[in-house]
Amino acid sequence: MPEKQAHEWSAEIEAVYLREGREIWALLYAQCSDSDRAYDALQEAFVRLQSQEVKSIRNIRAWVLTVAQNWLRDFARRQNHAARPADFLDNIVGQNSDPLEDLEKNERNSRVRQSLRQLRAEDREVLVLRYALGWSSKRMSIALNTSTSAIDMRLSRARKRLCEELEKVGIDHETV
Amino acid sequence: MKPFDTSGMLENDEELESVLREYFQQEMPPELLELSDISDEEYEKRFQELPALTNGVPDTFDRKPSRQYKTGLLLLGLCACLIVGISFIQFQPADQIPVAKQPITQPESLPPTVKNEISRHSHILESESLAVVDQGDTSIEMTPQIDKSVHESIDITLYNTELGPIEQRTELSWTNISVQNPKTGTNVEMSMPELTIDFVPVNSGRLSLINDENGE
Repeated sequence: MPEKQAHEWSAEIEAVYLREGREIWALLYAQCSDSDRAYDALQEAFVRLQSQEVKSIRNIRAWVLTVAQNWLRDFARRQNHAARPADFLDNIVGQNSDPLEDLEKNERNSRVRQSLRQLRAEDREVLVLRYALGWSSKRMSIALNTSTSAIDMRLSRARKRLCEELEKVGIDHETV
Repeated sequence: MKPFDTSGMLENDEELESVLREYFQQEMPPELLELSDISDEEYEKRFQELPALTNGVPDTFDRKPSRQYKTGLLLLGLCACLIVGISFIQFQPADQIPVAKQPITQPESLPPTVKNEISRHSHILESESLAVVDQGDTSIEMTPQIDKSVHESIDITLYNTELGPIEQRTELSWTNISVQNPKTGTNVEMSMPELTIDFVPVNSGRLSLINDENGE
């Protein structure tokens, strides 16, 4: 690959990352319910994209999503046979934060994460696009190739199911 | 045990939404949080520019009509079962009872010319021969074989009448005839009796003999 062409290719990849990174991460997060894993998949896909031929990819966004999804699947298979890190390592707090506040926040996030994992991927998908990316129903309908009313219906149902799951783990308006 | 107060989170949708927004803000990597987002109009314009076949939504997020897929699969299975059933009925082995495929009709009477042609090809039998004629389409030629072994029995009885002694000679002979079918190899055997009764006046001077009538 000529140097100029390689430079243009790297610039295009960077532009795609800046433009599509959040959305792709959200879609990957909807699949695995793990922030770090979704981010690793995103990074891995863009690293592989760097070594690809320029003209061999027509749709970079779709290519990155496919590669990242395959990486997530491979990771899930490896997890079944590999040692897992202890959970407490993820909950180590920084020195400048209030330990009690961080502990409470982690507790709540852990329950929300557990509830989200109980949902279907379709429900997680609309919740992540709405509340992680702040997308409107119109934009979600474009991305998911459906109508706005269908998106609103899916969102309503997903919220209802999430509330049911949150109640199971002890989070509701009557919980003490 | 619930060590932390989480009450009041789900009083309404707004509280739930605020919980989710805060949750995802913490979940999203800081590097991605810093990325700027585009407007809906710009996103729609860019989305339409993507190739039509791969509009950027991966397979997992592009909902497939699973119900239609299952219905099609079910119809395909039903068609396959129907084809197997029909072919089983069609190619089922015939029963032991023979079935006439053509309607049974009376044998047409052959014109005289045809009869002559048939007789031309058939063997001319002797007067003593026995012929068996098949009524079907194919004529079966029977080859008569006459067994020459003739069993004879002679019975002589004398009667004294007013006209003088009369000798009754009763001669019974059996002629065996066997007819063989060359195609099937079967033999038909039959015996034909021949009874001859003669009344011959007997001279008083001598007894009659069998061959007296021949002048011996």
